[in-house]
Order: sequence, then structure tokens, then C-alpha cells
Amino acid sequence: MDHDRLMKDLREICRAPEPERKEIFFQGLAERGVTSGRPTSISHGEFILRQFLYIGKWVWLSSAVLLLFITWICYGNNGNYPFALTPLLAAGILVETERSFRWKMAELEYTARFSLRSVMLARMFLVGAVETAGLLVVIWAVQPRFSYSFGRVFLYMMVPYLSASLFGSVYERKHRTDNGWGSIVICLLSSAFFAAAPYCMSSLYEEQFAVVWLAVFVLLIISLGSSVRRWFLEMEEPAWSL
Amino acid sequence: MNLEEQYDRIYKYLYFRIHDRHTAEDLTQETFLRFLGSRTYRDENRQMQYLYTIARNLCSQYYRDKTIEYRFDETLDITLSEDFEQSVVERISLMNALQELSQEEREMLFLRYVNDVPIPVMSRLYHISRFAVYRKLKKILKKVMSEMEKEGDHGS
Amino acid sequence: MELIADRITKQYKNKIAVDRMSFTLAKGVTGLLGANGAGKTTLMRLLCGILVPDSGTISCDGMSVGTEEYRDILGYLPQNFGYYPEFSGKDFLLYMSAVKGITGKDAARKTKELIELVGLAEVAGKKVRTYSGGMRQRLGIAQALLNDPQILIMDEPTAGLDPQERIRFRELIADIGEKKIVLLSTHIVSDLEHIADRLMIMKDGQLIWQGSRSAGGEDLEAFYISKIGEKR
Repeated sequence: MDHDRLMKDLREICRAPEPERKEIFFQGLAERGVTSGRPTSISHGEFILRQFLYIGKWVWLSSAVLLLFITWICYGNNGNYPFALTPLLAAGILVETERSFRWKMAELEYTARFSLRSVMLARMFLVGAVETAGLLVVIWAVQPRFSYSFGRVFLYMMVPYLSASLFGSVYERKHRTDNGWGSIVICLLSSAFFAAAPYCMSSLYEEQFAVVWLAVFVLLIISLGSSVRRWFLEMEEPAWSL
Repeated sequence: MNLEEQYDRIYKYLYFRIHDRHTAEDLTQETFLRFLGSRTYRDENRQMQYLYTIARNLCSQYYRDKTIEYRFDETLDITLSEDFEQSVVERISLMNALQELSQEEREMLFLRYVNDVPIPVMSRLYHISRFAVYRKLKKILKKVMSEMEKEGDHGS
Repeated sequence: MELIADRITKQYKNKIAVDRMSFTLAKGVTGLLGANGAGKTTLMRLLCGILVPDSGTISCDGMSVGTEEYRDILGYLPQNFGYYPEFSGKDFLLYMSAVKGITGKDAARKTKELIELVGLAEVAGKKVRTYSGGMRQRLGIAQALLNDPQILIMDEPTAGLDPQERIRFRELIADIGEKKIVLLSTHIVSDLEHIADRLMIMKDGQLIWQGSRSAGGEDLEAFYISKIGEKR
């Protein structure tokens, strides 16, 4: 038997008699104002927009100042030092993402419709995207000041930034309710590390070494992805130490 | 689809599961009361998913006390069409074939082909991927067809 | 609507916080009694989906407690909660509205209504850090009600409230409890005397007694003490 015929028969078999009390039911609802009583829902897009508006002004301000500072330093012929400043940018993301825990709002946000995860993810994504975009603009702007190719400047700037992000995310995952200073310290230490590194390894910024930077970059991206994933999955209470 | 159309669909579904007009309509109204007492989703698919979920749960509660679900081959209201005899035979054959399916298989068939429930909604209702929904529907149709052929062979 | 817990167990740090508890919550106010450390907070977190049971299931009308649909009809007041530093009471409620997915106009309306309801109208514009303990608690109660929850779970909701605030709270809960599922935990028996329809008594993670409030008789305190002393 062919498909259409089958469908026709199926529909026939499953025919239901007309409902008898529909009109009365809907009339009753309208009288009680039920159909429009409940608060309506917002979409995920609107949610992210609102979270954007709630992100502290200090984050945007400090990021802007930092990016301008880095640009200025690059224009001042300061060798490879500017590269060691990018970890500080990661501090903003880390501190902002953990805001719920710092201020003990985590439990409340967890049970809301857009759970704590969405709130954290929104913050991290928003601040991260804006800061990374800002950094890319800076990279593009300052590259002419260096004798390195665009690719190398990109790596030299991104690797310290990603390293601090990675270590910071691991730290935050383990110390959720700290006041955020831990992340800031990690970023400062990363900065110090990259500032000091050329002294221990003079060939760090030479051309043939760039391949190592690339490998490290790839490794960081993967590790960061995995760390962030764990950060969000491990939401059980012991991690909160509530 | 507005609420009144949803009402018709849910009623049809509940009648399919329970086959008693009065109960089916009672449960339809209960479904809507619960649905309206909760968040109104802007997304129509979500609305549909939620409505069917509530309706299904009400069915489970209804059947909790009864031992057997309604048997599909007990339908008495066979309707007439042009080639009366042929269509009656086909429909009886189809009904018997449907009775051979599991409750869930019957339900999937109904939802998709009688109530035109979109695949994404079905995917969420059954907690399987869209791809899995397609495959299952194909499998069920095949099963139905082969059951009907078997009957044909035996000249039931 | 029913919230059904079936043999749920939760353990941490070598302690069994919730031990094979089974119960059903229906419309009305259920009081959860137990000493501090009995596992009440853990149980509530399990019912809210914050914690996942090691074994057993919790569901509400076929919905699992970890889903967005469930959270949508849930209102929760934790034992301790904070606030973002620069928020006023009103800001706090508007923020929670946003996280609960409530739109601008509805959020404004709901916020205003609830501020009135919990008696914070005069201080709504002031910063939360200037609030007394009782005021903060009332703010917490207000946020739990923002999304018109069908299920209300409150952990020690009367802590920090003065006698007058307690009475107001009881009236509010009695009203809500008529049509919704309400679960309140406390270690103060008198809080429940007038508002609970049903009681559950927990000790060391176990549900040692559950039943209707009237079974507790006139002197609820004595009843509670006798039950606590009974087991083991």
C-alpha cells in the first residue's frame, strides 16, 4: 500500500469527535484574565544583552586604559616589554566571571531560569570577546612598530594573555569564593614571567623560535577550552564551599 | 498556531490515548490550566513541547490505576468512504497492525503523521536527536507495512 | 502538581547528608523540622537542582529538577545570600528578574508589587548594605516570588525576623500555600504551628516522621522532641 493512502487511513482511524466545551473554557479564561496574567519570557539574546548592561564599568574602563597603555608603550621603542603586559588583560575576564561567587549571589542565580552557568558564561563571553577584539585591534595597530611579521606579533601578544587566562581559570575553579585577588596575582606573575623570560633565553623572540610559540599557542587554546569546560561542569557544592 | 488550535490538537492526542470524550476533554482543559499557570514561552515549539509533556504526564497519572491501556483494535467508529469495502478492510488491517506496535511507537506515529508535530519538538519530547526521530519513524512505518502485508497473506 | 522524591541519597566528605529519603510534596505548606546539621539545607538544595543526588530520583510532574522548565516555576530562598555591592533593594529585584527571564515592564510591575507586599516600600531606593537583617530577609522572600513560582522552597525563612515581621510572613505564606507547593525548613517549631499543613521531621539525614500537622497535636514542640528522641 502506498504512503499517502496509509497516511489517509491513519488520519481517519485517529479522528476524534469535536471537543464540546472548548468555547466555554476559553471564555472562562478570558474572563479571569488568565491568558495574559503571567509574566512573559525573554529570549537568550535579551538575557545576554541585560547581563552586558550589568557588567561593571570598571572592567571596560580598566581594559581600555590597559590597551591604550600597551599601544603607547609599543610606540615608545620599548623592545619586547609590551608583550609582557597582555596578561593583565585577562584579570578583567577572570574577576568578572566569578562575581556571583564573590558576592554570594551564586545560589540565588543557580535556581533562576537562566541558571548561574548562563550568567557566568555570558559574562565570560562578553568580557572575553570585547577584550580579545580590543587586543587584536592593538596588535594590528602596533605591528608596524616591530621588525616582526604580523603572525609573530600576534603570537607574542596572545600567548601571555592566554597563559594568564588558563592559569587564572584553573585557580578560580578551585577557589571559587575568594575575593578575586588570586586571579590578579596570577596575572601579575604571568606578566613578570614574560618580562623576565628574555633574560633567561635570549633567542626567545628570534625567528626560528617562532614555531615554538605557535605550538604553545595551540596547546594553550586546547587547554583553555578544556579548563573552561571543567569550570562550568564542576558546579557541585564542595567546590563552592558554601 | 493559536491557543484554540493547540487545544484541538491536544484534545485529539488525548482522545487517541484515552478514547473517552469526556475524560479527554477534562484532561485537555487540565493541561491548558497548568500550561497557562506557568511561563508563556514565545517559541512555539517550546510551547508545544510543554503542552504535550503535561498531557502525557496526565495520561500516565490517569492510567496509573488502570491495568491496560486502551486497545487500538477496539475502535468501533469506522467511517465510510468511496470504495467502502476496500477501505474498511484496509483500516481494520491497519488497526491490527497498530496494535502490534508498542505504545511509544504508536504515539510517535500519531504525533508526527496525524497531529503534524514538528521534528524538533518530537526530538525534545523523546530526548533523542532529530536524526534518531527520522530513523525511528521510518522503522515504525516499515513495521506497520509489513504487518499489514502479513495479514494480507493470511487473508484475514 | 506534585514534587516526588524517591529514595534520594546524598553524601559528602564521608558523611551521609541525606539518607534514602522518600516523600511527595503536594499543594499546601509543608514544614521541614530538624536540628542544625540534620541535612535540611542539603535536602532543599537537592530539590532545587543545585545538588544532584548520588542515588534516587526527584521529579515534578514528569519534569526533572535540573531543567529550565522546573526552575521557571521554582522560587528559592537560601539560608544565606549576598547582593552586588552598589544595588538598592529595587535594583536587586530588577536584577533577579533579569536572571529569571522576566521582561522589563513585567519586571517593573512585579518588583513594585513585591516591595509593597514585604513592606520595603520606604527603603526600596536605599542600598541593600544599609538594610537590617530582617529587611534583607524580606528582600530575599520578595525575590523568591518574582516569577510567580508554583513551588516555593525556603530555608530558614524566619531567621532574623522580628515578631511582627514573623506574623506578616506567616500570613503571606498561608496565602500562597493555598494554591502552591510550599516547603519551609526551620529548627524553630513555633514558626510552623500555625501555617504548616504537613510536617516532615529530619534527623541525621533521615526522614524520621512525616504526616499531617494535626497529628502533631496541640503542643507541637513536645511532639517534635518526642519524635527526635524516639529513633535509634
